[in-house]
Amino acid sequence: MTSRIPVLTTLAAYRVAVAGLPMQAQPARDATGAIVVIDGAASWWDAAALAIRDGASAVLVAEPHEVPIDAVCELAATARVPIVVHRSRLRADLVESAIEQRAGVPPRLVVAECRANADRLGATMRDAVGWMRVFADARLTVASASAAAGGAGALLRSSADGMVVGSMLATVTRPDGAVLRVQALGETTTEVEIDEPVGRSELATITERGRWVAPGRFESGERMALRRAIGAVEGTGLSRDLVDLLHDAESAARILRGEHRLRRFG
Amino acid sequence: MPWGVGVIGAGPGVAALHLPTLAMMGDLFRVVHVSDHGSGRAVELAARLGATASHDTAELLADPAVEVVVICSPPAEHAHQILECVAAGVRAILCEKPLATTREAAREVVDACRQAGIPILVATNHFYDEAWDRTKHHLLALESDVRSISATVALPPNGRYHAAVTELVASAAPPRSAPDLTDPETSAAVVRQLVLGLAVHDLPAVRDLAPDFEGVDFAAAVPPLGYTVGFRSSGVRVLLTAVMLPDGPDPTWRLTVDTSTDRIDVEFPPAFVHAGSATVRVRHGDLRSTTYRRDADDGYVREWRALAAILDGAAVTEYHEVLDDAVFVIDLAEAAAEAVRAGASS
Repeated sequence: MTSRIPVLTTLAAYRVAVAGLPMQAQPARDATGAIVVIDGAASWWDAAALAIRDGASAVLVAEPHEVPIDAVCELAATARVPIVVHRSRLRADLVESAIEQRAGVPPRLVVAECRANADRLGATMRDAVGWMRVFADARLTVASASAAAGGAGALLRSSADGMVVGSMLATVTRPDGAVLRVQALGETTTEVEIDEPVGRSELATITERGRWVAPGRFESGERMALRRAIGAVEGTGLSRDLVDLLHDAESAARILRGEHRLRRFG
Repeated sequence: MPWGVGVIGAGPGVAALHLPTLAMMGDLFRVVHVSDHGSGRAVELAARLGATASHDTAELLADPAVEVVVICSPPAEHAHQILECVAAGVRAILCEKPLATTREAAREVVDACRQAGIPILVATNHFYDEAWDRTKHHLLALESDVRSISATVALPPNGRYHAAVTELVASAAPPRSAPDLTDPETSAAVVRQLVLGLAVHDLPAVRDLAPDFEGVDFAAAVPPLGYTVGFRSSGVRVLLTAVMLPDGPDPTWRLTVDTSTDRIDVEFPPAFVHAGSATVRVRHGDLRSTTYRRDADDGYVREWRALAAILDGAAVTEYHEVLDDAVFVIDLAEAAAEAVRAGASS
């Protein structure tokens, strides 16, 4: 048996994940040398910095809610250990599968539609930006945005060449929970639909030959995220998760503020 | 006795759409005359049907067998051909979308039809699809406010759907080259034209829910040929997205209405084919899902039936609605073009 990596967590789902990886992980009593799982609901950036100071070998941020740009930038700039971020609406394995199924065919246009109550809309939009980023394989610029109490709309372009990547429509709804649909349209079309309250997540790839629906994912998101963190510790140690999170959060915040708004036409 | 139909135009919209549709409705309509500008296609289409062919609209309008005219010419010709139909005193007009390409022309043709008492119906087939009635009924019963509307369209070439309903003579014309979308004026013109010709399918439904156009927030042309336009109407946020592909899967044509509780997806079948009505799926606020039964008739059949009902006196032309729909589309097209120009230079 290879050495098992210690994991420090107070979150029940991650305790289960540790138990589900008995060959690779074991519970830890303190942060030294451990993967420290941080609950994203609270001031996770401070907790992550503290864990790193205490000798964590990696940090796993579970479902970050708020993303204060300055504080998270500082964390990204100073952290010398891998920081893995788990975003259930942007599961790394689902992203990987979506991109793999496209077989290198770039989309012509990406459309993201988000529904959530007011408290959760920003985080949902952030993950929608993440999907647009991975489909475009580019950093994005909010070219135009319009926002009001009922929601927001935006046009996003590639930061590299200014080409249109796609657009987003975000709607505030009354029931709890987030619903996200992203369509990468083109000669190969990808549709991702995530309906959190229903517990439905579907990835479909559509070509002239027909519609391929990805098989269900029966591994919990937490276990998958923990495997990624273990991989980061054992592998290169690098993770772009925090940089990507910052990118997506900044874009979503700009959209919600209605920044880069053109004068209204018509 | 079926109504005698004169067809202006002989392109794929006639050969693969209206003629096959009218062939399903022989008890109501009979094609008696086809005219075009001399491409030769009118002669061939008319010969198949035992109808008269001509190279001139005036000749078609002078044919006493023509009672109803369907206008399937390029959009820029619609308005003056409607006026010609009115002057000739036809019984009714079915005009392919758009009704007109300027506000002034739209007002002129609707006024002319109203004063002459000539029914006119614009062939916005999605609006006539039974799926839209179901959607409206659901929204009325729900008593929930509409918050946003999204129309997402991705279209492969039409050829495979033409082939499903007819046999077309191969075109001798070379394929059109893609427009240069790096030029802001070209981009603006493309977006304007696509809103008038493509987005117009769904805009009567959008206006049905959100009638007061407020302004465009953003617009851009999308290569090889498409657009994305964000605008607001009656406080509802609307996103229109379309891309025409050189190849690819069967069409995506989805109109989504988000209320504060429910999401309604209306998924339309490909153009040209007769695959029944669109599919309506509702994701309720209480997490139930409903898929409504599809109707055997599509919007093409139902728009012709709507015209027949008007001709029979069972329904009337709502001229103000025809005009308001047309002006809504033109206002949006022009504002979107302006936004494209401004966005390209910002």
